[in-house]
Amino acid sequence: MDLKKHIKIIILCLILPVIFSCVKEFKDIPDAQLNISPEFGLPIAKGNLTLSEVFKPDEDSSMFLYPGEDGILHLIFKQNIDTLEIDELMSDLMGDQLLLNDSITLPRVSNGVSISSPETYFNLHLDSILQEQQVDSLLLNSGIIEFDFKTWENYDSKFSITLPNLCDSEGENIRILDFVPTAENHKITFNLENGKLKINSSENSKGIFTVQLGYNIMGKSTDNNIHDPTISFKMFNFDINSAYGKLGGFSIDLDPIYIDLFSENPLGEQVIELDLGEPQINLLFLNQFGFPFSFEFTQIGFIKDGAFEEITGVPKSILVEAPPLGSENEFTTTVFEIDPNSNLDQLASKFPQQMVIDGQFEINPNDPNAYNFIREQDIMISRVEADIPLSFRLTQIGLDDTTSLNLSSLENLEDNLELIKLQTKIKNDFPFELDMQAYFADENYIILDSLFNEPIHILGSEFTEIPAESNIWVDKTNAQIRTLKGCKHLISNAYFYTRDSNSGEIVDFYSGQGLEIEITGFAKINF
Amino acid sequence: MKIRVALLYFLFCGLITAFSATGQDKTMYFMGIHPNGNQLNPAVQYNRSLVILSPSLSFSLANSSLTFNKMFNRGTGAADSVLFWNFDSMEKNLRNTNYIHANISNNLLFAGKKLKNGFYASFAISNKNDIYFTFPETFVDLRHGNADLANNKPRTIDLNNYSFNGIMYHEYSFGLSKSISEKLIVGAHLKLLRGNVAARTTKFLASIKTNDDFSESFLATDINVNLSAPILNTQKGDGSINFDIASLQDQMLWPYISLKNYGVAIDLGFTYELNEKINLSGSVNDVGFIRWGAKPQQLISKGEYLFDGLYFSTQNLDGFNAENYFSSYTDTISSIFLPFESDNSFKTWLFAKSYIGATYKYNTKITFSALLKSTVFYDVFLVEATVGTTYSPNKKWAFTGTWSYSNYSLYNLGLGVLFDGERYQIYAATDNLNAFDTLNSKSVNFLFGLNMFLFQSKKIDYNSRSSFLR
Repeated sequence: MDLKKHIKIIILCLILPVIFSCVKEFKDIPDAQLNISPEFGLPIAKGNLTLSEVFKPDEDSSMFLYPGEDGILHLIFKQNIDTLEIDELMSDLMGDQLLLNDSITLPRVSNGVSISSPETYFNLHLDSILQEQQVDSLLLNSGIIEFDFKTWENYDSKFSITLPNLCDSEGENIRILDFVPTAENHKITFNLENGKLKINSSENSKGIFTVQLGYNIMGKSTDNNIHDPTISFKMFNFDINSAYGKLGGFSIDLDPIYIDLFSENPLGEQVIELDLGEPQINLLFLNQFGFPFSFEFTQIGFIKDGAFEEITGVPKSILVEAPPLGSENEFTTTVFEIDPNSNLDQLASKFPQQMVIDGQFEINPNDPNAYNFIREQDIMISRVEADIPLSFRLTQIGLDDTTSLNLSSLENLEDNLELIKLQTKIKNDFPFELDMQAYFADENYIILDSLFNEPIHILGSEFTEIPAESNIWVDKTNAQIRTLKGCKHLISNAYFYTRDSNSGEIVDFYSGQGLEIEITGFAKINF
Repeated sequence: MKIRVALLYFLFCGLITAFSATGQDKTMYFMGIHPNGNQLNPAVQYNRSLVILSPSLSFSLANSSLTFNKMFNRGTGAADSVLFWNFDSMEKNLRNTNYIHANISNNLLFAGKKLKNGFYASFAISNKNDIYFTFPETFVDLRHGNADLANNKPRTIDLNNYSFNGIMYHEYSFGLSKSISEKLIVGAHLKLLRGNVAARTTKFLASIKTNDDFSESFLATDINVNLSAPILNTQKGDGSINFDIASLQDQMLWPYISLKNYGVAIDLGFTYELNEKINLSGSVNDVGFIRWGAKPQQLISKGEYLFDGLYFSTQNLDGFNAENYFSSYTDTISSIFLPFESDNSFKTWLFAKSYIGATYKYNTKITFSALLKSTVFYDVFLVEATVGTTYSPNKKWAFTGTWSYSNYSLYNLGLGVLFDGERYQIYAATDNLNAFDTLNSKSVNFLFGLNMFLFQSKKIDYNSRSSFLR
């Protein structure tokens, strides 16, 4: 059987051509190139910006926006300028000084002779301005009163003293009974913490510190040249909590107050013009001091590069009222309006380095006999509150910025990324416009490419409720992507300005205005 | 002696691989190969009682639309050694629904017993495997991405109507046929099925639609894949699902037995001798199902997501953390689309087939035949037709040549050869002889087989019955 002999050959002849003819082709399948370039487009981001959301008020907010009755947004700005404490104003009154340094001298008695009195009133004289300012009571945080009985050497003596002008923390008059001075014990010291000193309660008792003295003295020396029996009084180390009385009228020069503003102009050397519509800017004085005063501005303005420029429209003199007696913890509020036509906006747009306030206080300017009080915790806050309608004209502000941008990772994509596109759609309700360009630069700041083919212009809205739409494309081909992989910096230039600012038009910003941004990305990728 | 060694080697290889494919069934249908003839038509009776051990080697792979040369091309010039995917060519040749189908089965054992009164009983054990992957015409559109940059228009990413289905099961067939008359024989198989592994895609809808201005992309999935295979592991904690096929092998092995994967199917058939020259035959096979209850797993992804980009506003600009933002995005998308597991049992239908054919016995050596075959896949109804001639120069040899419309192609020439020995049959067949031109063929199938008759009774003269049966 011939076929039987050759069946193996027949089978192999059938199989082998099939196997070997296509082995190479099939072997290559895992390495087959796709050779496709799919194109993708995806939404990347959407954004919505409104000014009213940015400056949304909260409890502690010092700056926020609110819509006025006409719909125009108002920028509310509240900022404390300075807080004045009482010891800055009246350091002489509240300072550490010797308040009393006086003595009582009794008649000299010979050996074996005695004198006595159950109660004799002596008037001592207080030192310092308390007499001049007619302060009639002082509450003390601390203080010392010291009695020195200089009788123990030549006399046998016994004393009782009551001080009707001085009470301890319990409200009791300071008092000693039947004190017998000795060589070892001839001084008595009282701590006046939380004590109260009542003086100058009437015109007749002005500057008088009364001592109610009972004594019994017997001479024990035969020497005729001995000293008279003497008691000396000292009050010192006073820390006054508060004082009540008539401060009278007097002036105090204020040290100039410098408030730091802009260390440098954020816009560089550019000169811009900011022309606010009708801003309401008020100076407020919140006063806790128990005396009215006037403040005479000798200087209020800005310092720019060492040059002072005065703010116009500020009152030359202001009168600040005091809270009435019995309302010691309350503040009076005195408001002074800065003229809406003030040059404040124009000076502020120059980004000054400092604001300076200087002037002179006059205490009780209208009534030197007014009854006042001073407490160590009292303060006076000077404050500026502004209500600025967002109706303004702003000339071109240029912002130049250079940021690090390392695009070396593009090297991993350059073989596959044939084209990349970014589409940015902007709906702008605001009446401001923007010109922008950005450049990719290498480590030596040599420009490699620009972000946009040509500078873009974002339109500003011309009509309320009709946004201006801008459509911006960024296209980068594979050749550009290969160039951009050397990028190390992004240099951007942007210019903002309100619509038709060059023609002097003041534009309004409304509460409903916003900025919608929609970014879509496209890519063509080779596989 | 050398031939015996070769046959033993072939037998050894065949026992290891032990496959026979149905890709060659159109050529085999009339060749009288044991036991395939009875498998394809339960009315087929052999002219003796016999027990067959039938190792074979086969390979069958078909796709509906593409050939190697339609899928790939070589570059030109310096790139002539590089193989490229040719999507333009694929686009021209793809159909609305396309499939890749592999069917592998083998008959391990067949026993037939001729009974009194025209009955013929049979019992067979076989192993069957079907893998069926479908993909839509829009598959090649994926290469364009979701955008047409030249025209600034979006494209829809269409991932609808993909499916992967596969079953591996063992079949225990109990057959009985009867000669109703001198001319008509009818038969049936009742088949008990024992499933090993299954994958069934019941729904696969997924798309990414981008609106005209690219401001939104809408992602949607509605996917349900049933598995009876321990390949999904749900991670504790994040609930993510990993694929692990390590434990799949046990379930694929022959000794794997689970009473939870069971099924039943029937085959019905007839042969009718119209006259001495003409025989008619027909059969409907594999009408049945398997209920998969062993380690059933379902992958379900059902969700919708509208992606419109990152959203920033004055409220979230402060403290904006892109990493956290993206993380929350991916978490959200993951929670919507990542599949989750279910353990419901499910049912898969077998791919039912029907054959109807006729033979014309021109003389004792030459027989002409015609066959119409249809197959019901899940979403494709496939019709194939074959005409052929069988030449039997003597009782031991038969040669069959066929021409088929198959796989949506008229370009299918088949060839079969059978050597019928006393104790064995050796055969080879293909429906697609032109698969030798593999690079231009949509299907490849070959069958080489050996039937060893472990037992056979005295033969009845086969010439008295259907001429194409041996």
